[in-house]
Amino acid sequence: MTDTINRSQAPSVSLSNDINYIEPERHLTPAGVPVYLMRNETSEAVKLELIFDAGSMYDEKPVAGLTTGMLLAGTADKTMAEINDMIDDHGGYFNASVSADYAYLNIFGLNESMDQLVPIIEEALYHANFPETELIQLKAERKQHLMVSLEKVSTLAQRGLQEHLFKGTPYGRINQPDDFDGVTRTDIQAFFETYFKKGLRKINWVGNPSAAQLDRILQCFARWTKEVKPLPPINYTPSIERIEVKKADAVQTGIRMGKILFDRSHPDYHKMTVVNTILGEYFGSRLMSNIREDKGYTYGIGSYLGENQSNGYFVIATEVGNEFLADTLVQINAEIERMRTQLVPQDELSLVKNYLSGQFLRSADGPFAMMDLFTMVEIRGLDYSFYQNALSTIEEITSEEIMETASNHLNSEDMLIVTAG
Amino acid sequence: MITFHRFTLPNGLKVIFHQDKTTPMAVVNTLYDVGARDEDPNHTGFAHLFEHLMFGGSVNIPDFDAPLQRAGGESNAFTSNDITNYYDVLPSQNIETALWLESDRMLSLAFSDKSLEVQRSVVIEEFKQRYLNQPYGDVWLELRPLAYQVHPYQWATIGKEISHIEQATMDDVRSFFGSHYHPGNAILTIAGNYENNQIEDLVSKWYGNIPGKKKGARILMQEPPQNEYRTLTLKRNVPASAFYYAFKMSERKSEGYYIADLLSDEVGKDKSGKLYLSLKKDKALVHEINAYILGSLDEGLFIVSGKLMPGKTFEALDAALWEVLETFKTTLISTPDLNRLRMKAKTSKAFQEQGLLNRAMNLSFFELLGDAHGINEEEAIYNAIEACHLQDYAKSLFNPSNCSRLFIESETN
Repeated sequence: MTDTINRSQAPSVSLSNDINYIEPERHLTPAGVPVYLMRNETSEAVKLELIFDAGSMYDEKPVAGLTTGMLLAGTADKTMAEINDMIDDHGGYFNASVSADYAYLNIFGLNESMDQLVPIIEEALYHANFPETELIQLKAERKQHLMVSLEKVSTLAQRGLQEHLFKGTPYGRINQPDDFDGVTRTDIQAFFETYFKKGLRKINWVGNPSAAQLDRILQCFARWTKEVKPLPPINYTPSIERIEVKKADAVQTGIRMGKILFDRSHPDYHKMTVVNTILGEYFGSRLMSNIREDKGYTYGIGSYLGENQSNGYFVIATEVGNEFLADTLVQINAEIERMRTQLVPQDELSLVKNYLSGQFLRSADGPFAMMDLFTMVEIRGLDYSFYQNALSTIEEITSEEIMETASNHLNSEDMLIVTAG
Repeated sequence: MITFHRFTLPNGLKVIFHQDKTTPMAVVNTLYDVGARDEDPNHTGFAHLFEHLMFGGSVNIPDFDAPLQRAGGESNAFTSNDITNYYDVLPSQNIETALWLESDRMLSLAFSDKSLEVQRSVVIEEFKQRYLNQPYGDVWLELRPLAYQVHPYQWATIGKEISHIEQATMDDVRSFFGSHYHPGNAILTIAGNYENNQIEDLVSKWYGNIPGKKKGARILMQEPPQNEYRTLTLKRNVPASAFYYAFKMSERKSEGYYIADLLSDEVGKDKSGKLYLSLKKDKALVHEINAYILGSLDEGLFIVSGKLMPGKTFEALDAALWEVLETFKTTLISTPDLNRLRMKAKTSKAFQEQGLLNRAMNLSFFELLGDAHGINEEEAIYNAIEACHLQDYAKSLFNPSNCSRLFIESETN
C-alpha cells in the first residue's frame, strides 16, 4: 500500500439503484385473510404481525386504545398473569399498539416456538373477556400517561396540529384525560367483536416455517374474518391559522407547521419526497443547517410527509429555546420561500440524490426491513413499483422541477402554525 | 454465532471485521474508550459535547456529513458514561468514503470557533429539551449524585449543569482530543461483504500513518462501600408521584452482572411478576412498576421505579415494595420461572443479532470488555445461572444500606 494518500481528496463514489425487492409468499387463512410471509433464512428470529381494521378513528371515545391494551388481559378461565406465563414458557414477547387507522398485535419468538406460541396467543385473544378490574387499572394508567404527556410542549404542539389540521374528521379527535372515564367494558367488548374478530386485515410474518408449520399457523386463524368496510372519502377543511397553546414555565417552545397534501398515489409524490428531503428530512437539510447547525436554536428540526388511509399531509416540527421562537418562524418561512423561488444548486441536488439512493438501500436491509417496505405500499394498494418509480424520479429530477413542485405545494400562507410554550 | 477477523495496526488501532455476504451495505463503527466518567468534575458534559464537535469538520475535510451523504451514507453517534460510539452506514462500494472521513477525524479535528459556539448552543437546547422541559426529566441529575458520592457516575452524560457546557473553551477541546482520540484508544469494527485481506489493506491505507500514542492510564475515583440508606424527596410540578430505588450492582465484566441482569428480568416481569401482581394488581398502589439495570462498566445501578396511583402514599409503597423484594431473598424462584427467563434471553439474543449495525456495535463493545468473542459466550453464561445464584445475589442486593431512594412528590396531587 502506498503511504502517500491525499486526505484532501474524497474517494470516488458510485451509486446503484439496483435494489433487490423481495416479494413475500402470499397465503390465505381458511377465512380468506391474506398472510404475507417473508423468509428469514439467516436467523431463527420470527415476527408475526396481526393488523386489524381497528384504529382509533372507529370510535369517538378512546375505545380502540383501551381494547388494544387489553387483548391478552384474561379469558373466562385464565388470568392475565397465567397467559403471560404461558407465553414466557416459550420465550415469546408481544406488544400491541394502535394508530388512527389500524390496531397491531406483534408476536416475537423463534421458529421452534411458533407452534406453541401462536395457538396460546390466538386462544387468549379470541376468548378475551376484558376483566373489569383490568379495565379500571388500564384506564387509570392511560389517563395518567396522558397527563404526563400533556406536560411536554412537543405533545401539546402535535395535538394542536392534529386537532386543527384534521378538524371535523375522525383524525382530528384528540383525547382528554377525562375521556377514559366514560369507556365501559361493554364498549370494549362491542368494539372487539366488530373491529377485531371481523377486522383481521392481514398478517405479516417474517420467519422460516416448514410447510407443515405454515399450514398449522394458517389454520390457527380460521375464525378471524376481514369484514370491516372501507371508509367513505373524507373532505378536509383544515383551519389555516396561528394557534398558540400556553404552557407555564416551559423553557422551550414546541412548533408544528402543517398542511393537507396528498398520499403516495399522487403523481407529484416522489418529486415532493425530494423537496421534503432538501428542506427538512436529513441531517444536512436546509432547516437543520440553518436553524441547528448555523444558529444553534434547537437540538433538532425536521419535516416529513405523513399519511393516513384517506390522505397525506406535510409537517415541520421542532422544539426551540423560547428566546429563539420568533426568529425560528422567520427562518422556516425564508427556507420555504427559497425552495419555492430559487433553483437548488447542482451540488446540493446531486448530494441529495445520492443520499436518497443510499437511504432506499439502507431501508431494504434484511427481511424485517423488507417486510416493512412491502407492507407500507401494500396497505395503500400499491406494490414495489412504487419504490422503483421513486428511485427513477429521484435520479432524473431537475432543479426546475423541484422549484415547480415546491411552488405548487408549499406555501407559508396556507400552513397551519401551532406553537406551544 | 457471529464470526469475525481481528487484527491490530502498529499504531495500536484494534480492528474487527465481520463478514456478511448477503448485505449491499457497509457499517464502519468506531468506539472510543472515553465517556462521561473520564471528565473533570468541573467540566462535565464534555465527552458528549465533544461528540457533537466531531461532526464539525476535521483537519483535511471541512465538513463530515456532506461527503458521506454524497456517498449515499448516513452517520450518527452516542455518548454514554463509559464510551463514545460513532457509526456510518453506506453502500458497500463506497466504504472508502467512511474510512477517509473517520480516519481524518481520528488524525485531528478542525477546531473551529464557530463549530464550538454553535454546538455549545445545540447541546444547551438538548439539555433543556431532555432534562429540564420534560416531566421527571431531572431525575437522573438528582439520583446519580445520591447513589455515587465520588465516582464520576455521579453526573449524567449531558453534564451536571448548563454552565459547564457554556464554559467549555477551545483549549479544553484540544486537550480532550489529545488525551482520548487516537488509534490506541479506539476499536474500529467494519461489517459488510468483503474479504479479510481487502479490509486489512484498506484499514492500513487510511489509518496506518496516524501517529500512535500510549493509551493513558484510567484513574477514577473509587466509590467507597455505601453502608447507608440514602433517601431524598423532591417536590415537582408533575402529574404523578414517582419513586426510584437504586441498588449498587456488579460491574460489567463480573459474573454478578449477568445474574443481576436476569434478576432484573424476574423482578420487573410485566403482568405476571411478583412486584407487578402485588403492588399493582392486589394493592393498587402503583400505575406502573419496572426493574432494570444500567449496564455500566464500573459498579452499576439496579433500578426499581414506578409511579404512584393518586391518593396512595410513599409510606404504603415503601413497605409493600421492601416486602416483595424480601421474598427474592428468602425463596428460590421456581424451575418454570427460571426456564422462562432463559427462554426469553434466548429470543432476545436472536433479535439483538438482527441487523448489520447492531452486530458491529456489539462486537466493538465486547472487544472493549476484553474479547469480541464474548458476544458468542453470553448465552452459555445465562444458561449456567441457577435459582440459588439469583437468591444469593438478591440477598446482597436488596438491602437499605445498598440503596439510594428518590421520591418525586407531585405538587398537584
